[in-house]
Amino acid sequence: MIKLENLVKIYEGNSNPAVDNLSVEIPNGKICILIGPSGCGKTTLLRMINGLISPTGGKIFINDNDITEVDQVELRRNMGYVIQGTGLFPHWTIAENISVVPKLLKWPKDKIENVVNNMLILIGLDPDEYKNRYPKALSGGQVQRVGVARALAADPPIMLMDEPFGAADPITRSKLQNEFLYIQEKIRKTIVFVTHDIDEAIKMGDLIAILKDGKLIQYGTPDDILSHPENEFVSEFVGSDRTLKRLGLIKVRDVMTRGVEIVKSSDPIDKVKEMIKRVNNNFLYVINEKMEPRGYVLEEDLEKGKNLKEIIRTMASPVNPEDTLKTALSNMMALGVGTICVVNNKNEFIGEVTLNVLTRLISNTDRE
Amino acid sequence: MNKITGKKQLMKVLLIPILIIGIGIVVSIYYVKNPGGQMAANIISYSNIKRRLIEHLELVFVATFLAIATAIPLGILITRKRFKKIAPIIITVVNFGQTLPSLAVIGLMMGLLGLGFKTAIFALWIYSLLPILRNTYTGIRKVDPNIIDTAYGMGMKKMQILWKVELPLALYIIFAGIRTATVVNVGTAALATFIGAGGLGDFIVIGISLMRNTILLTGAILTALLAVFLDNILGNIENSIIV
Amino acid sequence: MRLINFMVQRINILLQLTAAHAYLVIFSMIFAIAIAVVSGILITLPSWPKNILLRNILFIISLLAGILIAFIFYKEQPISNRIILFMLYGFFIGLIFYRKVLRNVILYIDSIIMTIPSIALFGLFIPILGIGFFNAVVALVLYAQLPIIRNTYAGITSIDPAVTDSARGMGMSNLQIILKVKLPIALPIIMAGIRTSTVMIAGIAAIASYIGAKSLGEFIFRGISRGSQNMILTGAIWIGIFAIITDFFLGRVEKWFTPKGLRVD
Ligand SMILES: Nc1ncnc2c1ncn2[C@@H]1O[C@H](COP(=O)(O)OP(=O)(O)OP(=O)(O)O)[C@@H](O)[C@H]1O
Ligand SMILES: [Mg+2]
Repeated sequence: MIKLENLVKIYEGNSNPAVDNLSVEIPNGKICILIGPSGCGKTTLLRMINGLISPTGGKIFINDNDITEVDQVELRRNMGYVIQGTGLFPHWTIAENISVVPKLLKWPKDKIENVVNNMLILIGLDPDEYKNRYPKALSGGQVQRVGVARALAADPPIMLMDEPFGAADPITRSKLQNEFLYIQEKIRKTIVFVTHDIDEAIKMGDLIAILKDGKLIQYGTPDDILSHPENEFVSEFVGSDRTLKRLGLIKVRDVMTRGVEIVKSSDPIDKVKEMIKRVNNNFLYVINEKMEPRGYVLEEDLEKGKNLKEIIRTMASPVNPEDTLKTALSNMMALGVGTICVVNNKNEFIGEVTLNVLTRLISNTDRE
Repeated sequence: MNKITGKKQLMKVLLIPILIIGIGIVVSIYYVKNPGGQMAANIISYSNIKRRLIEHLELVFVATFLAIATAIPLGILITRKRFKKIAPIIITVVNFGQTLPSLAVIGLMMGLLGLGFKTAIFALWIYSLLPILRNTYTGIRKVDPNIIDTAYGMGMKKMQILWKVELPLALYIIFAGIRTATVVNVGTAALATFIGAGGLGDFIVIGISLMRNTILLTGAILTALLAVFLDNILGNIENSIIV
Repeated sequence: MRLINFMVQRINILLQLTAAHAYLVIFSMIFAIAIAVVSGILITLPSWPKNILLRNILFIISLLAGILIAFIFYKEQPISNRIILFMLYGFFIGLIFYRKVLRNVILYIDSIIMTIPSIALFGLFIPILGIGFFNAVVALVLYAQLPIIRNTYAGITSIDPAVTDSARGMGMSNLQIILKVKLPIALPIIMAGIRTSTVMIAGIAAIASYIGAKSLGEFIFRGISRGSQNMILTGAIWIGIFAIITDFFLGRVEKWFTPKGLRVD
C-alpha cells in the first residue's frame, strides 16, 4: 500500500506549490491513475514517491514504512520507474538497458539473460532481433515499451509509470494497454500511472485521482468519477461525452434481460403469430436447433411468407455478457436496430439488451 | 546578442578594456622606474616600449586586415554552386593548416623568405586567414536553406540574397573567426622577434637571454594584456551582433 | 633534396628530440586531463553540503587546514612553491563547496589564459618557476585546461535529464551514475576536447624549448641563431608532421572511444 499524507512540494524559487496538501491511499495490486492538465504536479508526485526529491511537507508511507526512514537505494530498487520520456541509456543495448537493475542486484548471469528474453517477449519484441540493438535504432513506441520492460525487469512490487504509452499511435497504444492489463491481471503490482488521456485513465484505472494545480480534486473508481463528477472542473475534464464513456464501463451482464421469449426457426407461422400477441411485442428472436440466434421476425412480416426462413431478418451481431454496453450500442447502431441479443461463449442465446435500457441509464447519469 | 544601449551599459562594456589599459600603463611605469640595473634600464624605456608596441600592433593589424580582405571573399566564393566540388578539399587543407603550430609557420616562412618584417606579415597573414576562411564558409553554409528559398521566392537576385540574407545571418560566425584570427596574431607576432620583425616579443627574448626578469616581464605582461584587451573588445562587438 | 639529405644526416638527433617532445606533451597532458576532467565533472554537480552556513564554515576550516599544510609541512620549500601549492589546494576545496561560482570563475580565467600568447605565459612563470621542463609543464597544463573542461562540462550537462533521472530512479548510487552513465555518454565530447588540447599543446611545446624544455622547437631556435635555413625548415616541417600525426591518431582514438549506441552513421 502506498499512502500519501498531506503531501506538499514547493520548488525552490516558485511561489505556488507544485503539490498541495495531497492525501491519497493506493491499495496493493491496484492501478491508480494520476490525471490532470500539464503542470499539475503528476511527475513531481512520482518523483517524491521514488525519493528523487524530498517533500516540503507531509509524509509518504510504503507498506506503513515512512520512506525517509528506509535506505533510498533499496527503496528505488523495489520500485520500477518508467520516466516521462523514457530515458533509455543511449550507450547501452536494449538487453543491457533491461538488465540494469538485475545487474545492480547482482543476479546470476543466466537468470538475467532469461529475464531479458522474457521481458522482450512480453512487450512484443523479438529477442533475437532486438536484444543487441541500441535505443537509437528503435521507434518511439518501441523505446517506450523497452522503458516499461526495464522497469519491470527486477519484478518490483511497485511500478511508477509516467505517461508510458504517450508516444504510441492510437492503435498501438490500445494494444499496449490491453497487453499491459493482461499482464497486470497476472502480476498484480501496485501501479501509479500518469496519463493525459482520460480514455486511457478510464480503461486502465482501478482508481483515478484527478489533480489540478497540485490539489487533489477527486479520487475514486472510474465509474464514480463518470457518474458523480465532483465539480465543474471534473465534468469538463472527463468530457461532455462522459455518459457514453460510462457505457464503456458497464458490462452487458449487469443490464441484460434474461428469459426472453424466443421461437425456433422450425416453428410454424401460426404458433409465432400467437406468441407475438402474447408477449405484446412487435418482434421475436429466432434460434436454430443448437440454440444459436439466427435473426428476428417482425409482426408485420408474418403475412408475407409461409415459413419463418423466408421472412427472417438480419440482426445486430450478438454480444457476450462480458462485453461493455459501448460495444452493444455500437453493434446496434451498425444495423440501426433497437435491440441486440446476448449469447454465451457457446454462442447460445441467453438474453437481450434494448436501446430503452441504455437510454434510461444515460438519462440517469445526466440527471445526477 | 544583447544590444549595447545607454551609458550604463557602455560603461560596463568599457570597464575591462580601460582597466587593462590602466594596468598596462602602471606596469610600464613601474618597470621603467625600477628596471633593476643599468643594462636593463637602457632597454626598458618609454620610447622603446612605445616602439615595440607600435610594431606589434602594426604586425597584428596589417596581417589581420589582409586576412579579412582575402579570406572573406574566398570563403564566399567557395560556398557558390560552381565551387561546390572543391570546397571540401579547401576546407580540409584549411583544417590541416590550423593544426600546424605557429612556430612551425614562422619557421617555414623564414626558411623560405628570409628574415624581416615582410616575412612576418606574410606568415601572420597566411596563418590568420584560416579561421576567417573556415568560419565564413561554415557561417554561410549554416544558413537555413528554407530562408534562402523564401528569398528566391520573393524575387531576390543572387547578389541580393548574398548581401541581404546570407552575409547578415553568417556575420556572427564570421566575426568570431576574425576575433580568433586577431588573438592568434597577437601571439604569433610575439614570435616575430625571431625573424627580426620586432614587436613586444623582443623584450621577452632579450629578457630570457640576459636573464633579466624585469625585461622579460615587461614584454610578457604587455603581450598578455594586449591579447586579453583585443579579445575583450572584439568579444563585446561580437556579442552586440544580433543574429 | 639538400633538405632531405640534411634530415637524414641528423636523423638521430631528430628522433631524440621527437621523443623529448612527445614526452613533454604526454607528461603535460596526463596532468591536464586528470585535472580538467575531474574539475569538469565537479562543476556539474550541485554544491555540497546543501546548508549554506555549514558550507561556509567547512570552507573556512579547510582553507585554514590548507595554510597549515602549505606552511608547516613544506617548510623546506621556497615560499613561491608553497603559495602555488596552497592555491591549487584552495582551488579544489573551492570546487567542492562553491561549484556554481567556481564554474564561472574557472571558465572565465581559463578563457583568459587561452588568449595569452604562449611565449608570454612561459615568460610570466620564469620569475617563479625558473626555466626548464617544470615551467613548461605548468604552462602547458594551464593551456590544455579550457577545451577539456568546457567539453566535459558541456558533454555532461547536455545529457537528457530523463537518462540521469532514470539511473537514479533505478537505484544507482551517485558514483555509479557518474562512472556508468554520465562519463560514457559524455566521453566522445570529452575526447574531442582532449584532441583539440593535445594538438594545441603539441605546437606550444615547440616554443617551450626556448625556455629550456627539450623539444622539437630546438631545431628552429638553433637554426635561427646559426642562420641555417635547412635547420629551421627541418624543425618547422617536423613539428608540423608531429601535430598532424597527433591529430590523426587522436581522431582515431576518439572514434574508438565513442560507444556504439552514440555513433552516427
Ligand atoms: N525542478 C523544478 N524546479 C522548479 N519548478 C518545477 C520543477 N519541476 C517542475 N516544476 C514546476 O512544478 C509544477 C508541476 O510540474 P510537474 O512536472 O510535476 O507537472 P506534470 O503534471 O508532470 O506536467 P506534464 O503533464 O506536463 O508532465 C509545474 O508548474 C512546473 O513548472
Ligand atoms: Mg510530467
